[in-house]
Amino acid sequence: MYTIIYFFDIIILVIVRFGDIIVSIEELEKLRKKTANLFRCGIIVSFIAAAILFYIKRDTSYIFFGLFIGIALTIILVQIPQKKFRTAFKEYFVLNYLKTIFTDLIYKPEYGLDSSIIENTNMIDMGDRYSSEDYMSGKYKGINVVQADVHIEEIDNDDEGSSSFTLFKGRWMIFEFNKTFKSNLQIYQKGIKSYNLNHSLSKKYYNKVTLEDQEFNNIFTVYAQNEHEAFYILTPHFMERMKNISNNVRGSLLFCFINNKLHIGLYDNNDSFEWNIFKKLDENNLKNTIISDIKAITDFVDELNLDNTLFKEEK
Amino acid sequence: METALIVIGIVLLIILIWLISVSNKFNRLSIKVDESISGIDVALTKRYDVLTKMIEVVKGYTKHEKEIMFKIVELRNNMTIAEKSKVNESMNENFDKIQLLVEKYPVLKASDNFKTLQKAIVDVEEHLQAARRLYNANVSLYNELLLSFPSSIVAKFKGITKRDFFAAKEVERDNVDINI
Repeated sequence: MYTIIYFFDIIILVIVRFGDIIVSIEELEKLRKKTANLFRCGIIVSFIAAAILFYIKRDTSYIFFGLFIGIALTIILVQIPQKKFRTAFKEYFVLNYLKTIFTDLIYKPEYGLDSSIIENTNMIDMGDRYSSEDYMSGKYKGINVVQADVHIEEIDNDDEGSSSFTLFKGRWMIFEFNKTFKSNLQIYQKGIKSYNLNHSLSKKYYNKVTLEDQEFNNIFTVYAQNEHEAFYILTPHFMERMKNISNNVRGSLLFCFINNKLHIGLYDNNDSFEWNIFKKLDENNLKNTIISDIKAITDFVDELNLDNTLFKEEK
Repeated sequence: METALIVIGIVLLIILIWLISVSNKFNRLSIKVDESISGIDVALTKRYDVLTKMIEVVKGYTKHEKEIMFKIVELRNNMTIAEKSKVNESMNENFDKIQLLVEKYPVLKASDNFKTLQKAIVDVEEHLQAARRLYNANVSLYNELLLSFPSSIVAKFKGITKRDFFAAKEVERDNVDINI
């Protein structure tokens, strides 16, 4: 099933790539309206078709059959304009706003982070299905930043069929860290359910660390391979900043300090750099939406003062 | 009679298990405190080394400043925490003297060698603060267990005494113009 969807997606992408990319907001708004109206019409037609089928056959099962076929056709028909809209939104508008904030920018909306990068942090259960998109890398205030949307699911197969539940859905960000350290440090915001986390044997090399800041201990759980380095990284100022961030973001946070980099997982059940086709688009709300998605990345550099190179060894 | 003996036996067994577990907890915390002392030793040694190098560089630029005397209390083996605090204090005093001198010698301030050492001392300070905080956090847990009832009974029985905190002033980095 997923292979069929994947090939279908590729065909649509090829069709979209043949056309010119939209570069004006007015044209993008026109395309959005067209896509939304096509979707609405499809749904209405599906209901009418289902009602006609029921009227002719006098069997309720035909209602579901008619609705199923109608909605499936609508979704297929909407794919091309929707993809065209998405491509223009991301590859022109999002890209241009990103360029104003980041240098050395690479933005590949169709690509994501390799699962091994997240797996190596040993923070969360990698489940059975992994997907990632909206890959972006660049420099902000001289700091290397990488981010992508990540979705990790667990698939349960039983006699009644298969069902899935989300282990992680949100952003994964990687920042160059301003201190040099040798061991790994993991910090979980309390509230993330235990089944989402990694409980593998490799965790035995970590010790739970209690910091002197009780408020911080109430918000986060800290595991370290080396307690001294945990105290070295988590200075009172840094803990204060982490507390501020946890108060300001929606969702739960995961921090992993590994290989002189800081990985941050923001589990907020959101897709970044997306536009709902039923939402009116104009220059102001387009700008606000994209900038707020970008700020979700840059705020970590600003709040955590990651551009402070006082401790960084010069190469 | 037999039931009473069994009950007494069970109670005594529970008390014995509790005594062993509290005693082990003291041992574990004591090991952690001792381990964290070694962190302080490492950081103090590093700080001493960097500060000595800094003084050498400063002396090279300020040969005619006769009145400036640098004297760091040397680190010895088996020093108590109070003695280590004193060594740290003496390092602080010397560092303050260096900062004052640097302001008078722009050439020294601008020299690459001095800049590198200044950056190194900032990192060493940060490691020392981390070691101090870890040590004090462990001492705090140890002393808390020692003072709280009923574990205080075990402490008295074993002759365990309070551990001293490592007193050190936080380096007020914001007030130091590093200009690297």
